[in-house]
Formats: sequence, C-alpha cells, structure tokens
Amino acid sequence: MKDYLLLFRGGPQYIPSAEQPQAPISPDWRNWMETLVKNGRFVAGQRLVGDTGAVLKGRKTQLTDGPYAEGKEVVAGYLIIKANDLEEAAALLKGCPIFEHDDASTEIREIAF
Amino acid sequence: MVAVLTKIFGAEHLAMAEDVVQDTLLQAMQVWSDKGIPDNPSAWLYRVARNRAIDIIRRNRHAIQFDFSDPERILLTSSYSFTATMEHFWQEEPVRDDMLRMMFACCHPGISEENQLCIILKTLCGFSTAEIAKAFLTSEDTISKRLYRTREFFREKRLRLAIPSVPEMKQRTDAVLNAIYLLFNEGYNSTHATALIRRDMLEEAMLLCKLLTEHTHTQVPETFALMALMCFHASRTDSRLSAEGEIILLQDQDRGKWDRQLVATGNDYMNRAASGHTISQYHVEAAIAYEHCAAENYTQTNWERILAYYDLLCEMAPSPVTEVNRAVAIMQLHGATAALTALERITAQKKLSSFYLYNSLLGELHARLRNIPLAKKYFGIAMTQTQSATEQRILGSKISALD
Repeated sequence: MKDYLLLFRGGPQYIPSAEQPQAPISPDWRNWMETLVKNGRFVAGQRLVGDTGAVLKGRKTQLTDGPYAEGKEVVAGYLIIKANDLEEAAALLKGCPIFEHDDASTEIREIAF
Repeated sequence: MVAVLTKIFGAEHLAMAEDVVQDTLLQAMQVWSDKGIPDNPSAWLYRVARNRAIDIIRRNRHAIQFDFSDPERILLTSSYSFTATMEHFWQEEPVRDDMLRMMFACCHPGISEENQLCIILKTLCGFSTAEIAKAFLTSEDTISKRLYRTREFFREKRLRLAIPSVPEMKQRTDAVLNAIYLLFNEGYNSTHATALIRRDMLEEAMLLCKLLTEHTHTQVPETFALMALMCFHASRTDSRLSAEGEIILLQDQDRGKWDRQLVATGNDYMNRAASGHTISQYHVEAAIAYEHCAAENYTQTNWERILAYYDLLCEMAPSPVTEVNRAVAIMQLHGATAALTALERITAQKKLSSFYLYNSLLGELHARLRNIPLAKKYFGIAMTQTQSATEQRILGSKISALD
C-alpha cells in the first residue's frame, strides 16, 4: 500500500472569522472521510486558509503576495490516503464532496517512500 | 457529559474531561444568575462544554498527546471533518452509548469495587467529591486519592472507552451489574451515612441499570432481573422511614404507601428476565422481594416459598448474609428454636460474629425464647457494630422493651 497526496483546488475557500474559528464545511466531508477511516485508508489532511498566503520565488527568493490569479487554481487543502495504486486512489476519491463544486479539481500524486 | 468528553479526549485524560464539566457548570452559574436560566438548560450546557472541548483540542493538539489512533477520534485531526465529528460526539444516541462505555471502563476488573463506585458516582452520577465522601463517611482526601488512583489506572492502561467484545461481554456485564447493585444497596441501606436511605443513589443505580436494559449488548436476563429486584425494593422506600427518620420494620410498614406502579414495572422486568435459561442470584433475590411485595400483610407473607428461594440462593451463592436471611424465614415458618439451629449450622461463624444483622437476629431469637440476658447481650453487640444512628436507636428500643 502506498501513500497518495490528494491536492484539492477550487471549491469554497476556508476563511475563519472570530465568530466561526472553524469555518463551516459540509458534514458530507466527515461521512466520506469516515469511510476512508473505516477502510484504513485515511492518514491525514487539512484545509488551507484561503485568503492569505505568500509566494517566495527564484534565486532572489522574491516575496510576492499569493497565491494566484484564479480561485480555481488555489490549493484549498490536502489529504493523504493509502491506496494500492493510482487507479484505486482515484476510485477512493470519487465520492469526495469537493466535486459538488464545478470549479473544483483534485490532483493525485504518489508520495515517495 | 463527562462520558462524552472522555471519549473525545481519551480515557487517559479523564481529569481534563472533568475540568471541562466543572468549568461549564461554573460558567452556567455565572451567566444564569446574570441573565436567567435559558429555555433549554441542558442544550446550553452541552453547547458550552462542546465549545470548550473544541478549544482544548485545537490549542493542545500538538502539545498534549491525544491518542488519535482511535478510529472514532482520528477524524478530529482534520479540519475537513473536525466540526461534524465534534457534533457527532454530542448526539443523543451516541451519548447514551458513551455512558455505557464509561460504565464498562469504570468497572474494569483491575479497579477495586470501592474505587469503581467512587468513579461511577463522580463521572456518571455527577456527585462531588464532598458528596461521595459524605456517602461513605470518609474524608474528601480519601475519596480524592481513590479517584486519583483510578484516573492513573486509566492513564497507564490507556483504556479505550469501548463496549467489550462478545467473549468478554458476559464477565464485564456481571461486573457492571455488581457495581450497580452495590450502589443501590449503599443507597437502600447506607452503612455509613446519617441518613439511612439515600434516594439519589437509588435513583442513579436504577437509571444506570435502565440504560443497560435498553442496549442490545447488555440486554441479558441478569440485567432485567436486577432491574426488577431494584424496582421491588425501591417500591417500599416511602414506607421504610417514619416522619422522624426512624426505620420502620417490614412487619410494621404501611403497605398502602408501597409504590404499586413500581411493583408493576418490576413485574414487567421480571417477565423479561425470564427469557433464556439463566437463573442468576438477581433472579432469586427479585423473586424473594416480589413475595414480600405481593403479600397483602405481613402475616400473609408466603414464607414457605421465600424459604425455598433462600435455599436455592444459599446453593447458588453461599454467603453468611444469605444464611442469616434464610434463618429469618425459618423463624417465621418453624419458630425460633429451628432458626437458632440453622444459625449454629453456618460454618463461617467467625466472619458472622462481626456482622451486626447476625447478632441482631440472635438477639431477636433469644428474645422470643425469653432468654432475656442472652437477647440483651446480642442486641448490645449488634449496637456496637452498626454505624447507622437509626439502626442503633432501633436496637436500643428493643433492649428496653425486654425489661
């Protein structure tokens, strides 16, 4: 079994406020993740705060405001799961609630080691 | 509430769960005295406790070692599932299961019976350390130490709050039932406290047992039998003490005050206990208690049947206490001489002689046989053996009645 990184792009941004330190998210996420846990596939994962960030770039390590031009390209979070191969990882991802949003996409990458 | 929080934090952080409850109650007292009691106080308490739990997990996720390897808790590690998982922990159905899990944890075979009762009273019944100390007539310090030891045990063993697996179930359920019965007995006949009956403990014991009767895993005949037994005993509570708080003996109780509703409930449980092939000690004791409840007056008590039950009980679970009770039934059926012979036949004489009911019965038997000096002697011994002020007064009045 290998570890795969699921890189979520797009979808609603996680913007916590004083009143709601855990910016709301659909309970569907929990239900979907619970299945991963039950099958021993869940490793870790977090949402990323959506409206701040910076990018350090090039030899000069120039700092620019991040992240990026378009919302659908912003990385919104990541999950690490266990799967036998890329195909299975993709199959596990199918039920993910991120795809309720049209602009969302997920990159699947095998983690070395 | 402690049960839910313990599941969130893990049993090794029991003290943390208790702190959260304490803080929540403190906050309630402040806010409520300011703004009045909210419409739904328990929902309010839950919300505050939940938010505090969220804070603690968020703040201490890395600093404190929460054991997130538990499949139920691992979803608390991800911000994708944290909020919904937290909500899930506080839903009503799981909460009831949590109490059950907590009960099993508290009745772990590695914890002594005394300590089991303390931790149950503290975490499941919400007694304060001072209240528990009062109930057991000991210092708060002693109780704190006992609680501390149990918490340490949880921590060291990294106990997981779980409903035991099927092979373990029977033994573990027995331990839980035993603890509940001890709790009930402590409330029914406080060995220490100045009040002879502690209704709060009776109610808590019955509540906990009721939980067991509602859960598929613990719906065994023994559970129903214990529930029936407690219903029958508890139905007499109102008639057992006079207005002055003196104990009223069974033969003098106003049977009109017996709670017929509760007897009927007990009967229902008894019927459910009759399923299956097991006959436990609770079954027989419930049957005895039922005979007393069913008799219209003391003289109509079916002592023959009761004696038969005691015979059975002595065979199943021989104990000096049961033998003494059996002797009472013999006294009713065959007279004082026969009862004396039965008492003499009991082997564990040494253990018995330190048991106040035994000496009090000896006193009673000798009084009936008009052996006044002997009767006085045994009543006197019994008086020194009970710590209950009410029972001492009764024995005192029996001695003076002999003159």
